[in-house]
This record gives sequence, C-alpha cells and structure tokens, in this order.
Amino acid sequence: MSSPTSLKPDLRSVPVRALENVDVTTVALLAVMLTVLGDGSASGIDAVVSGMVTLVLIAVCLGGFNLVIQAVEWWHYELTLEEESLVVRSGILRPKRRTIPFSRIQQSTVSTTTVSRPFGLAALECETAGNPDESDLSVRYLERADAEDLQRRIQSTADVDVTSAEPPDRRRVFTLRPRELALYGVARAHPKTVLLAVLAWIGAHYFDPDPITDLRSTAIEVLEDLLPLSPVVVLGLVALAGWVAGVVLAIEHTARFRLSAGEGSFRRQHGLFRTTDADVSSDRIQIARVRSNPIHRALGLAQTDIGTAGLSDPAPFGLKWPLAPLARRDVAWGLVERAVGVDRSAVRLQSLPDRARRRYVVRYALGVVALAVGTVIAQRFVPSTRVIPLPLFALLLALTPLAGHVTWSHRGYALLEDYVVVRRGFWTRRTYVVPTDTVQNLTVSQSPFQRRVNLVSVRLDVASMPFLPGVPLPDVDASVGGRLQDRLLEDDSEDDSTETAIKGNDGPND
Amino acid sequence: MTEPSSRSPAESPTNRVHSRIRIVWAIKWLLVGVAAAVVGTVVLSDSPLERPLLAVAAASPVVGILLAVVRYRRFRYAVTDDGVYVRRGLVTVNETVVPAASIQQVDVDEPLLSRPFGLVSVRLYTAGTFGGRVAIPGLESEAATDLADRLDRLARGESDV
Repeated sequence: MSSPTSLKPDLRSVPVRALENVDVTTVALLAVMLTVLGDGSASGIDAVVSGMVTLVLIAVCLGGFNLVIQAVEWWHYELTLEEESLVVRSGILRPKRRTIPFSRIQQSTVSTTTVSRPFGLAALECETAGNPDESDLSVRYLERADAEDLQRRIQSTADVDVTSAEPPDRRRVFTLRPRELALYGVARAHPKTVLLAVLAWIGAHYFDPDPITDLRSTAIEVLEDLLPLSPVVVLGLVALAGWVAGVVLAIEHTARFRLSAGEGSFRRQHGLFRTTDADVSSDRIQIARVRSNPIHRALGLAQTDIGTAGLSDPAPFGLKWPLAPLARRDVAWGLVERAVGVDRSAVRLQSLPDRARRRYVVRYALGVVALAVGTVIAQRFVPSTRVIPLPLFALLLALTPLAGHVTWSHRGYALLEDYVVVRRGFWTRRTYVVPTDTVQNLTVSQSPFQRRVNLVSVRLDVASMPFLPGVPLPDVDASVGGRLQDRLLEDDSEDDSTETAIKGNDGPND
Repeated sequence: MTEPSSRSPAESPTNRVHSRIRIVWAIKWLLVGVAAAVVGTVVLSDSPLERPLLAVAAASPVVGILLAVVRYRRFRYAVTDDGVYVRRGLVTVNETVVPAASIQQVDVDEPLLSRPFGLVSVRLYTAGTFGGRVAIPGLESEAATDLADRLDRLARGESDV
C-alpha cells in the first residue's frame, strides 16, 4: 500500500448497532417503572393494551435514541490504512486517534452476529499483544467482503504469524454434550430471573389490586380450581416460573458450546439465538478456576473459567471467560492445564495448619455467643423476639466444632514452582490456579489473633476484574507468606526460569 | 502492643515515613471528633445517640494521637530492584509486595491535610485494581519525587543503583 486508504463502516451498520444496543432489560425496567408510576385506572383488556403500547413506545424511543447516537458515532468514525499501521479516529465528546501498528496485531477475526447477518455485514476484530496499554480494535460493521479483504491486507502487511491465518490451526478441544448442557441449566439457582419474576409479581399485585376482569385474576380463577392458591403457593409458583425462564435462557445461550485451541489462543462459540464467538490469546490469561457445586461433584463434573487481563478500551477490566460450562472433572482440569500450563499431577493440595481449624471453631463459637447475647438483649425490648428459644443457641454452639472442621477441611493450597493453587468453599467449591508471574501484588496480613498462633492470611491480586478483590488464601502458616513474598520478588525478573529455591534476601534497602 | 514477628527473611525494612505524618493523622482523628461533636449537639441533640457521640468527640484527641503513633511505628517500606514492599496497619498488620514489573503507574499525591506540613504521598497502581493498592504517605516533596522517579524506572525495567 503506497497511499493511505481511508474507509468508514458500512452505513447499514447504524441500524444494526442500534438494534444490538437496545437492551431488553432496560426496556423491561422502564416498563415496570412506568407501570408502577402510572395510575392503575385502566382495567381488563384495556390495561393489557395500554401496557403493550407503553412497552412499544419505550422500545421505539430507545431505538430512535440509539439510532441517533450510532449515526453520530458512525459519522465520527474513520479508519485509515497507512503503510505500517491502522489509524482509527473515533469519539464524539472526546475524539480519539489511535494508531495500531500492524506488527502488533496478533490475530484478526471476521465475525457476524445474529443481527448483522441479514444485513450482509460482518465485524472485523483485531487483537493486539496482551499488553494492557495497547488495545483491541473492533470495527463494526463492514460489508462482509470488505471485512475479509481488509483482514487479508492486514495479514499480508503485518506478516501476522501463523496462528491468525484464516484457517487457524486450531483443534476442537471441548464440546459441550447435551446431558451437560441440560445439567448446566438446571443445576443452578438463577437468582436474577427468579428475583425479576417475584418483583414483577409483587409489583403487579401491589399496584393493581382491584380490577376483577384483568388477565391476572382470570388466570388465578382458572388456577384456583386446580390448586389451593394461598399467596405463598402463588409466590412459589412465580419463583419457579422465574427459575424455569432462567434455565431456558441459560440453555439457549450455552447451547452448541464448543471450544477450540490453537497455538497461543482459544476460541469459543456458543448460543442458539444470542450467539457468541470469542477469541482470547493465551498471554492475556491471568488465572484459571475450576468450580463445582454438590450436584456437579456428585456427577463428577466441574466448570472451568479463566480470567483475562483488561485491555484499555473495549474491556478495560478483563473478563471471566468460560472454557467449559460443565465438563467431566478430568476434562475440566485438562483445559486448565492447557490454559495456564500447570501440570495437574503436580498439584497436591495440602490442608491448612491444625491451628486454623481451632481458630474457625473459636470464631464460630464466638459468633454464636454474640448472637445469643444479642437475642437476650433484644428480648428485653422487643417482645416479638421472645419466640426465639434460647436453647437453640446451645444446639448451635454444639455444632460449631463440626462447622469449623468443615470450613477447615474444604480449604487447601499448593505452592508449585510457578503456580499457586488455592481451594475453598463448602457448598460451591472453587479451585484457583494462579501463575506466579500474573500476580500483580500480594498482601500478607496478620491480625492479633493470628499473631498468637503464627498464622497469616494472604491475598493474591491478579489483573482481572472479575476476580477482584484477589484470590484469598486465609490462615496459612506465617512462613508461607514470607515464601510467597520472596518468590514474587524474585521470579519477576525477566527470565521465567525454574528459579524456585526459596532463598534469603538480597538486601531490603537501596 | 507487640511488634509483629518478622517472618520473611527479605523483610526487615528500615525505611519509615516522616515523623511529621503523626500530626496529620492525629488531626484527621481530631476532625472525626469535631464532626461527631457537631452532629451530636446540632443534629441529634436530645436523642439517645447524643451522649455516645459526645463521648467519641471527647476521646478523639487522645485516641487519635495514640492511633497515629501506633500507625507511624508500624509503617515501614522498602524499595529494591525487585519491587516495593510496604507494611502497614493498626490492629491487623498488612504487608504488601508489588513486583517491579507489575507497577503500571506512579502518582505523587498532595493530600489536603498533609500539604500544610510539607508532606506528600506516593501511590502505586497495578493492573486491575481500583485506586492503587499501595500508598506511601508522609514523604517530603523532594524525597517523594525521587522515589517516584525510581519507581518509574523500575516499572520500565531499568534497574538502578
């Protein structure tokens, strides 16, 4: 390319982006708010119609607003291909000019979304080195042929390495099976949709109590013949409906999950209607986590997630990136091995010192005592609390050794050469694998109680927002804290050699 | 209070912040006391909370000075070619280690209260954390600039000294 070429996204990308940006939850929220604020004078079919009209109006207004925003953004967006780099000018209020050298582009992807496909448009996404100071580029949207052409030109100019060549040599490493998909949807609480359903029901119940002929009371009349409809039962049914909706949504979004891996990158694709096709390069991976709840464990399954580092512009805080929504335990760990390079057979978790267990028992006992004292005081002033039987606390107190033991036994850690592995959680068990060189900083803290038994709590901070505030490693022997500090300060030198010996200082001062 | 046990061989850092910071910290507690007194006498007068608030106000000078002294005694920091080490805390002692390579940004702040005393603080930012995990308060302006420069060089991978 001798002369710089400039191009803009296709004009049709304006409606596509506007459509994509209309958030269903925003619409629903606004609708609920308007219903709540509005006077509930209409009843029966009128109420339903007016409700629908409101909803449509909201959607149209939001859509129109989005359209204008996107149009202005489109107007200000310009892409220039220069000899060695891509220059992007964008921004309405704060115009920005970003230069991305071709040599920095590690891989580029052309992808279509459900909305963009009917318009014949595709997005071009370029991923630059995992350095947080540089950022990804995402051009939404270009004519599909243009996007592919541009991708080719970037690649030919950039001499992009093999991993980003169009048929990347990626192999499928995980496919979600139907049984696992179903379990993934079912074995979760879906608190969001349940809460939404319950809130909506309460709202409808509270703000619209009298109309006889509206849809809801008709439905209740119909159901009343079948069930003894006490409010509690209805609430239960509503919550169940919300949960089912959550299951359906989760299954829809996770269906056809497949993960492929190539040299230094992962790609995952999933979803029936809301499809996702995402790419991540391995050097952005900061942490891996295996998670399981009791149902998963009973069936020998687990989830694997990774946390990626934030890039400055599109995702400044990093993402939680599922590698496997649900897989057999060995498969899940295989993915962890592939993602962060840890050798699974070397991970031998050790339990916390016995002092920690004693500490937990004492802590729980003190908690129960505090509760009991609080109750006794409350019973003086608030008569209704007298229904709480005081012997209950004796029972709880008797259970504290068990609770302390359970907490203790579910925690564990392993310090490997280049990794720290931490496991915790009684109900949902989480095992974190943190490569030492992605630890941003490390805090060792010791409370006066811990000081007496020579324990410390360690927190490892990684550069991935979903995993803030860090990975906690509570109540380990004080020497572990010192070892980790030393390791962090030593291993961070340029060579990541197998320098693991824990040695003394090289002088704390200048 | 007992001194925290020294458990890591690398760490017996001797660097302290400037002793004048004690005044700043004590004043901070004093301000809390003043606020409590104002709230207690003006907003919540004749309520059951009035007396506790006034008690807080009365105790704040003594407690403030005590806490400031303890906090000052606890605070240590060290900067090596490998990174930064800071120990701080009142009751619970926190030791934070930041490897040189993960320092993203170094700020020199001039907090309102410390400025009249000629003290500034140096704040370190690492990726993915809010507000900077590590701050070294109570440095004289020149020392702070030197420290910030040194940290900046460390962050860029140039070892010095």
